[in-house]
This record gives sequence, C-alpha cells and structure tokens, in this order.
Amino acid sequence: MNQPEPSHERVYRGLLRLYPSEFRARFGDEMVQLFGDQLRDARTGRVSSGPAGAAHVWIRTLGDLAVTAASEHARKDRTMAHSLAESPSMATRALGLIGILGGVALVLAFIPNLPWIWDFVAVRLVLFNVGAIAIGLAAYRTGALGSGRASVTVASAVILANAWYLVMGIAGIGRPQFPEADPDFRLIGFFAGAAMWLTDAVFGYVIWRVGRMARWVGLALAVGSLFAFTGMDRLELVRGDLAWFWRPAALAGIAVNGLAWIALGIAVARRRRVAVVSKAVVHEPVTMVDSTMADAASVDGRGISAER
Amino acid sequence: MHILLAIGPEERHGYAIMGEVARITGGAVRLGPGAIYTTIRRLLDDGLIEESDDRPDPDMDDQRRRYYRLTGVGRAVAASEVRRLDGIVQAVRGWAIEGSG
Repeated sequence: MNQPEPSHERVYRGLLRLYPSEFRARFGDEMVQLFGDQLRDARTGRVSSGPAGAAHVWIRTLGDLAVTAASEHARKDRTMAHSLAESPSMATRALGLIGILGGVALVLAFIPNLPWIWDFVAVRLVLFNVGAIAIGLAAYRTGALGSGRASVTVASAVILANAWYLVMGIAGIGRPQFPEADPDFRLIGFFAGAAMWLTDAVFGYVIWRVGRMARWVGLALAVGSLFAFTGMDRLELVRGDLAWFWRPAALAGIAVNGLAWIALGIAVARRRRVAVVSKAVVHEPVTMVDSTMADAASVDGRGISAER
Repeated sequence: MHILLAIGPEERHGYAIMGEVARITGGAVRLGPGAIYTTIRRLLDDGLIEESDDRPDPDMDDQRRRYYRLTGVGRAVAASEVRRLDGIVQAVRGWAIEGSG
C-alpha cells in the first residue's frame, strides 16, 4: 500500500502548480522526491544546512521556486519551431484587428439601449463582413486552413460570401428593412445570408479539423453559424411550432458567431508562420546550453552531430 | 554547465546531481529542485543528456527517481568546456597565483 505523502512534500507539490503544467507533469514527482531527500538529510544532519535544518531548506527552495517557475513560464513557448517561426506580419496583425472590430460590431447588437436606427444596423453589418473577410484572408495567409487547393477554396468561399453580404449591407444604408422590404432583392438577400452563414460554418469546421489555430473557436464558429442560419426568416423555423427553441438558439448562434470572429481575430493576429526549415539546418547541432558552450563546441570542431 | 559536469561519466538522479554540484564547487553552488530540473529539461531537449533505464543506486531507489547520463554530444561539449576553462587557467596562472606569492 502506498504511504501517504508527508505534509512538507504535500505543500511543496501544491506549490509546483506555479510551473507550467507540461513541465510539472514531466518532472513534478522527481522534484517532490528531491525536496523530500533534502528535508530528510537536513533533519538527520547528513548534510550540513545550518542550524534551522528544514526551515533553511524551505527558504532556499522557495527562492528557487520563485525564480525558476517564472523563467520556465517565460521559456515554455520558445520551442525551436517557435523561434524559427516568423513573427506575424503587420498585414496579418491588421487583418486580425479588423476581424476583432467586425466581431465586436456584431456582438454590439446584443447590447440593449443602443441607437438601433437602420443605418447603424447596416453599418454594423458592413463592419462585420469586412472583419470576416479580413480573418478569412489572414487565416489563409498564415496557413491556419491547411495547404493546397482545399484551403484556397475555403478561404475564397468565406471571402466571397461575406463580400456578397457586404454589398447587400452597403446597398441597405439609407434603405430601411432592405432587402426584405424590396421584392426585387428579397431572394438575393436570402441567398446572400445563407451563403454567408454556411460558408462561415465550413470555415469554422476547417479551422477545427486542421487544428493549427484556435481549433475549438473554429468549432464554435461552425456550430454558431449553423444555428444563425436556422434563424433566417425564410426558413420559418423561428416562427413555427418550435419557435420557442429556434428563436433563442438562432440568436445565440449569431452571438457565438460574433464572439468567435473576435477570438479568431486575436488568434490570427498573434499567429506565427512556421518557416520552411531545410534539412541542412535540421542536421546541425542547433542549440547549445549557452553561448560559451557553443563557442567551445565549435572550437572543438570534431563533428559533434556525427557522435549522436 | 555545472550539471553537465556533475553528471560526468556516471548515471545520476536529481539529488545525486545536486550533491555533486555542491561537491565540485566546494559548496559555493547549491542548486534547488527547480534549478536542477529546469536545466535537466534543457539538457534533455538539447540532446546533451538522456534518461537511463538502469537503476545503479538500488539503495536509494524509488519509482519516481530517474537517472540521467551524458550523450555523446554532451560528453563532447563537456570536454570542450573543460579544455576551454583549462586554457584560461593556464594562461593566467603565471601572474594570478605565482605572482601573488
């Protein structure tokens, strides 16, 4: 049967939560073991640690923990792939910011007591579509949609569908209830809306499937957009027997769609693009402990990589 | 660097490494568990050390205890660093030690 962990070790194990979870999972048990060994030897006098014994070990360990936990957090994202990746370009950051503004414009619709004159609604939709187009472009540029023809197709679809709805939004400025109130444009408006929600859903699904950027946000966008689609007037779902379900579900879908664009805007603005690494670079002894050791290794000049 | 040299030709676990660092530095350097394992992580990631499957210290054995040893790259880097430090010591020995007597 396992012995219960002594109280000092239990407290130290709790403090290990200050380290990144991946580091803790990898070395946590060993660190607790080492801390326990230190305490045991301090108490038994096997190792000289001053008059206070365990207290001295604790003080030194707390100082060690404060410094190394912080440095490990600062370091945890600096993997080799991360350091080889290009920082997001100004254009990508700008596209992400536009996407965030677009999502905010959509979510604003859910805040009561704003001046909901029709022109404001139309302007809001224009901003939303511009944001979605920006995110579609940025996601393609940064490889978040994967590669090849499929990524081009998905990016093109979401950009074109949102551009179509954008045109409808611009046409609606100064024209109350457009396009519903205009028989010439009613059907076009419906198809523009359907294309927008459905391509948004596909776009979110691909983000989720590819998994290179904010994949759960992609899934939320997909689900939210599908529910938003069901809220379109012509589908009659929000007016049928199940209106009690579909109406709030569709509104929630629109809200989730807007929030997802905001989150994707943040993700895409921060996203690094992984550079292509040649085989020659991969086979070099790319990292050394510090510059001194790197110098020493190069002075040695005996082909370190060959000894691996 | 202390940890790389402390592991040396042996296979050592974290506490043994900690003790060896204190020994080779005459007690001037005392590392805590965080310093030991953040450095071990870097050395593992850089391929300078590796985990050993052997259990060379059965008296102190514990399921949680892992042993580490130098890789070929680690040995080469440690040897280069020792040569570099030795060169510096040789270069200044004349005035720093003999001149002070």
